[in-house]
Amino acid sequence: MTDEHFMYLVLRYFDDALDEAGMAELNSELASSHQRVRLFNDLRVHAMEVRDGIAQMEGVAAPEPELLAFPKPKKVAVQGLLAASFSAAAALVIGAVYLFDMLQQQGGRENPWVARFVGGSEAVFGSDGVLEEGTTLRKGKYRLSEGVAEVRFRMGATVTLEAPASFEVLDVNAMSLKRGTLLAKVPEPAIGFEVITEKAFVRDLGTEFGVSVKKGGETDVVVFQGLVEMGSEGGPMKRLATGEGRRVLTNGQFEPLEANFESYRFPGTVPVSKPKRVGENLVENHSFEVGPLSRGPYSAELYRDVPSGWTATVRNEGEVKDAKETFSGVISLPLASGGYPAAVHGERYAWIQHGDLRQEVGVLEPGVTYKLIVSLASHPDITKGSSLPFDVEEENKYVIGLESESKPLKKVRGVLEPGTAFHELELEFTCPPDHAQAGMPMEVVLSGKKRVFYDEVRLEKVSKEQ
Amino acid sequence: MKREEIINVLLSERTKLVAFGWSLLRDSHGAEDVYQELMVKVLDREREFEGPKHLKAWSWTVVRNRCYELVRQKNYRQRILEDSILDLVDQDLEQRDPGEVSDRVEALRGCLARLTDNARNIVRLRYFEGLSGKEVAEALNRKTDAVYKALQRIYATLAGCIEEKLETSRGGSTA
Repeated sequence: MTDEHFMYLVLRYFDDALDEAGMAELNSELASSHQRVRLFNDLRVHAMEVRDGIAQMEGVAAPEPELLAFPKPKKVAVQGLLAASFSAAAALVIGAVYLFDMLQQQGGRENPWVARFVGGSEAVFGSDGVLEEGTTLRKGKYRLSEGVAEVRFRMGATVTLEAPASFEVLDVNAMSLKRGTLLAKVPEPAIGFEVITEKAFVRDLGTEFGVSVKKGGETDVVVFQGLVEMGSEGGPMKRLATGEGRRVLTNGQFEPLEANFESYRFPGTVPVSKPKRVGENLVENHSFEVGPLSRGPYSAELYRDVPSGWTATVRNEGEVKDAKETFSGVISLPLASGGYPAAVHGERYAWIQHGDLRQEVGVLEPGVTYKLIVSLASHPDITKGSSLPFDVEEENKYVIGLESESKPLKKVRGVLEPGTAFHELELEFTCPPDHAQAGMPMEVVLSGKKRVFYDEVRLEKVSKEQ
Repeated sequence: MKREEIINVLLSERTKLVAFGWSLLRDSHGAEDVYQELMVKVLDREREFEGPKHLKAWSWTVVRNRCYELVRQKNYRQRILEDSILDLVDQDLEQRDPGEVSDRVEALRGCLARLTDNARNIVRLRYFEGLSGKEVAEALNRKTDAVYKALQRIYATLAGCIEEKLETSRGGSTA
């Protein structure tokens, strides 16, 4: 094989565009010579560095096509802003941000992104900018003209903004808010996250807090959970704990805010989108949207309404919190990461999945025959799923299969009638006596074009070969 | 270890670690995220590392495990090399001298300026803007295979240029 053809295979491989024959060729070539291994690694280093090299040549961070319609971001140094308004605060440099800055300087490169748009509801940026989830945001100014947008900063802080809002991404752990309302959730690695407004600044000390800026710069700060430090130009430094709030007046003085947030408009305190049908917008990563977003009056939790006929629950690290008992008709969203929203129809819980369901089914013994049973319901409104490990079937057709170490072992097709009734798909499978992965847990994989509710996956031992 | 020492080790390994993650995830943001997660984890344990060797080994294990965990999830369903071959190439990458990688990267940056506008545009679309080969082909109204062949020629050109620069640099340093 020539070097040229080898490079061609590698470049296709990096793009996941190599067929089975190509994969076999590539595996064989890499096994045959250390020189090929060296070249493979040269190419993967080059592929990454080309991106940064071009950014460096052109003096910009990697652009996102979706952002081209936005105003050119203007760099603003967070320390500069702080120094201008709050000299005492400027002295406090947050360790993690410092580390990132230091890494960037020493690495001689500019970070390609500092925050990311991770979702929201009918969010429109500028006049007509609709961003795809995952779009990266560089340092710069942004205007949210409609809907609710969720922005995750590189250090981990998540900010939910409600339109109309004008804000600026300042750094991996800082932003400014010129106008509008936001809710910030700050996990431990991002403690120190800062929000700067014309009249005030807020620094997180491990918390969830809201900031709202009115015309003229008057700023409201409330703490839903934890602790923040806040200050103002000409005003004292102040720490606020859970349930406390302050209004910063245009003269920099503080005024207590009642800790009754029921009437307070923070993102999610009022319905922000039209009610959606069940399953219309089931999103991965354990978020779940079926109805308008609302916020509890005295808690940090968010809720979504669930349409008639369905109630909802959240499974949080093994504990089932049944929303029926606590909040009739709503699902609680923001429990600890790892919470799995599920819906209840009748007496049956159904985990919400689409496309590719993966679940370990247990340890298979060599030579033993098993029956795998998956109980499913298909909803007619559920939209198309993602790419799948097994063959994609037509609507309502599903494939269940067994995988070992992500390699398909056996699959079976089934057809489900649209609706919320549960059906069972079965797959009989004999674990080969000499199977390399025998003794290891195996995963069951479900795939299909439509998203699905599944109720149960069970494995029954049928027989043992003699 | 002192924080500055930790940072130096992480920086020296960054290119290799991110390249490793990118080639598995096929997603530069995903690879950067894994590297950032690594940094956070390292900072949580900065007093636990006995030295650079320990930190390097620990970092590679963390990044490798995290990438394979992501590969196993549905968002990263792609073909990957056979396990034994992956071990082979990953081991080679991990053991590469960071100084050599750094020299190579510096040479590469110099060589990018030598590309024709057309070649740079293809590279830009594929690696800078993150389009797949198919999407690049659509953007340029070309066949997908033609794009991969063009990329292959570009990389061959870059490889030649890099070797030339490294050779010159080696000659210069020994003179």
